[in-house]
Amino acid sequence: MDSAAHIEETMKKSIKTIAREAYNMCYSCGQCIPKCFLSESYPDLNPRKIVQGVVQGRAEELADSEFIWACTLCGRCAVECPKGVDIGALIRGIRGIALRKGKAPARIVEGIKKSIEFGNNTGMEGEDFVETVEWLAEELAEDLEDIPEEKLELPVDKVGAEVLYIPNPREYISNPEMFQNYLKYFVYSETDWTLSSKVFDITNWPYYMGDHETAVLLLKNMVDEVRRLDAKILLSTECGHGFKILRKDAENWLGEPLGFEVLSIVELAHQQMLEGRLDLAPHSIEGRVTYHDPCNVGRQLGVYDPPRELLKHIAQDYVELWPSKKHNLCCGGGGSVGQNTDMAKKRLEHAQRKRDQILRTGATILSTSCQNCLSQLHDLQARYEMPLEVKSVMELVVQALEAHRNH
Amino acid sequence: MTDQPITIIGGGIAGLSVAKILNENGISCVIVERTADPGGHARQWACKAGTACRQCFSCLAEQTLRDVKDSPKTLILAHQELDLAQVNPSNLRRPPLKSLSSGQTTLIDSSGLVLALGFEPYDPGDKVLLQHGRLPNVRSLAELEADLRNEDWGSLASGSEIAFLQCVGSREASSGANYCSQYCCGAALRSALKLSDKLNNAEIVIFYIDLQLRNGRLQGLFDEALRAGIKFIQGVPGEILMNDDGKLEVIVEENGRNTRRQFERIILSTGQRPPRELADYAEAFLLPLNEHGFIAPLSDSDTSRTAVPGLYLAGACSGPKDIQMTIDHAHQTASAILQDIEHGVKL
Repeated sequence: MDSAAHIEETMKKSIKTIAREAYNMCYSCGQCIPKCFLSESYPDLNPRKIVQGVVQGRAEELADSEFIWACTLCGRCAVECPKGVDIGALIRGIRGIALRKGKAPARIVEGIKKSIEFGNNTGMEGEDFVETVEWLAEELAEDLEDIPEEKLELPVDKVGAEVLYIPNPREYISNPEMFQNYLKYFVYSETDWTLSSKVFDITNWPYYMGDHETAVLLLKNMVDEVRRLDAKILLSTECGHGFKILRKDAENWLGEPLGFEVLSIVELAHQQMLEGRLDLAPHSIEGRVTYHDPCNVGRQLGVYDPPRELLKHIAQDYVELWPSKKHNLCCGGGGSVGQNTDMAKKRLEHAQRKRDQILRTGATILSTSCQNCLSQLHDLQARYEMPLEVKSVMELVVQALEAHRNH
Repeated sequence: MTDQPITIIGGGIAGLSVAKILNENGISCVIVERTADPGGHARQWACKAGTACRQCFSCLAEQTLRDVKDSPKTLILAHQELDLAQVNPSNLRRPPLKSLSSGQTTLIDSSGLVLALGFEPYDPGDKVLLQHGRLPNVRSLAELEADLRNEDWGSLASGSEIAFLQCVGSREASSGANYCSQYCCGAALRSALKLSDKLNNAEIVIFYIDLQLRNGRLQGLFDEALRAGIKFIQGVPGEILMNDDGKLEVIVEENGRNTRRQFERIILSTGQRPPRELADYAEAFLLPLNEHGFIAPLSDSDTSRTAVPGLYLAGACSGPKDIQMTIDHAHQTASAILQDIEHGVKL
């Protein structure tokens, strides 16, 4: 990959710029130290030391530390930072240095290569993707006898649909029930939607690695595809960073207006509920439901209310985590940690504060709206044998739609 | 200018101190105080003396109030405030005063106006992770002052492992308060020393960004605190946890390592913010606010006068101050008024 050279150039420059800013800004108040969920797992490093290290010209040394790969870029350290230092950007910059030195996690580097070549991090060809999801739709059709078959035909590359839905590769690789769940949602809600056979990966792994140029390239491919298919809405699956980049960074990175709306599927469902388009059985989800704010959806984008309003409508009992919203604790698996095989065991050990926070609620269903969080929370549930189920918000929404249909 | 009294808005230590000096120089004053009881924040605070005075000057609020009350030259109007809707900035000779009990506004005769509007303590409830208001043993500096003033040593003794977190709500560009509140280092040092005097086996830690020991008196308090065994750790934790035993915990960097520390009581050294209504006062008199929301004085070198002749500032409404600084500023303002009277400044 000849992007190594440009990473060297761009990241070296930008980390110096960031360092200069951090030097002017950070006065070592230390507020960030306890807010980082890694502070006790890595007692010799903390967000403040990252800032100090970069300012002191030791970014290269930090690039050799394990800490930068355990960091989930959750951004909790920087909430209410008196000086507004973007510590996550520093970590991404340092990861860029590691990438240039060939020390980035192999699986992520491989995924980025595939994204450049195939447009998705799994290396799947467009034809194979279409075949896979069509097969998933057919399988679903057999289960859903009350739905006419033509309604379960997949719209692919349909021009002028209201919504272009971009999935997460987990949905067609490791967790096909998730794809089928979203498919059910589109059918039940009678949404005018389509899939693309060219762009079917919402993620943007180079963003994690401080490889800005490749991150922009992937973004541009996606934006071009939405324009080509003339969709009014780019609809993100339940995803964290991919959605965040589209919503918060895309126009800055590209230097132009997108010309279409970016929504998450949870926001769409919320809108459709308010418009009276969803037949949700109220309070039909039994048990006590709580909601984990994904870092990118919550802290970064401030999407707090739509998932809560949906859940409060359909759950028998809803309870908040404490702390939640912008202060919520990270699941421990974001920012590439969940994809990084070196972190497979450690990410569960690092998340003990998360476990305790969840258990304090007494919830029987833990929900969230990011597939990365979802996967980590599933693993945490199993590792610590937490007496609860882990569900995505959209799984519960579909469950409530079906409760109404079966009634 | 001296035929009518000087009207002072605000009966805290600043307004009282201006009145006292003016009275001593034969000038009569009217103090307009919104509450029933003048004396302001300083009068709610506790004496911090050990075997010797630690010069916190909170006693001066009581003493100055007594002096002013005893003086025939000052009239204190409680439960009243300036009626901002009726203020005419080009005529300060007839300030409109509104009674908070009847709601009626009356014009009084005046020959000059002093704004001594004070400050508002920062509400630490904004900092969710510090859990003030959620955990009873997380207290603000003002709440500690009340405990010390009531000399409730029994209840205070129930927690002798005590932490102070400095700069809570101060020096914080992200919330528009990129300034030092000037009083909290001294207040924390004095309160810590008082607790150390009174409690057996007190273990006190002060977490700080950098101590603002801007004069010999504060330096002396710091030295005394070191001798008393009070510990100082650089870095102020931004989150307070509670463990299963009900003890408060913070994670801080100590000797280069992230360390969990337990306390029974944590005091938040909450800073000073401009009073909520300060912007309305500034607008009524067409005065500018500074970047932090305090009223901007005439210039950096003349912090008592304003751009409006006959309108003066005293105390923390022109920027955060401790008691000593407030009294000094009030004296400076009283001097400015006396000078202007001597020079026949026309309103």
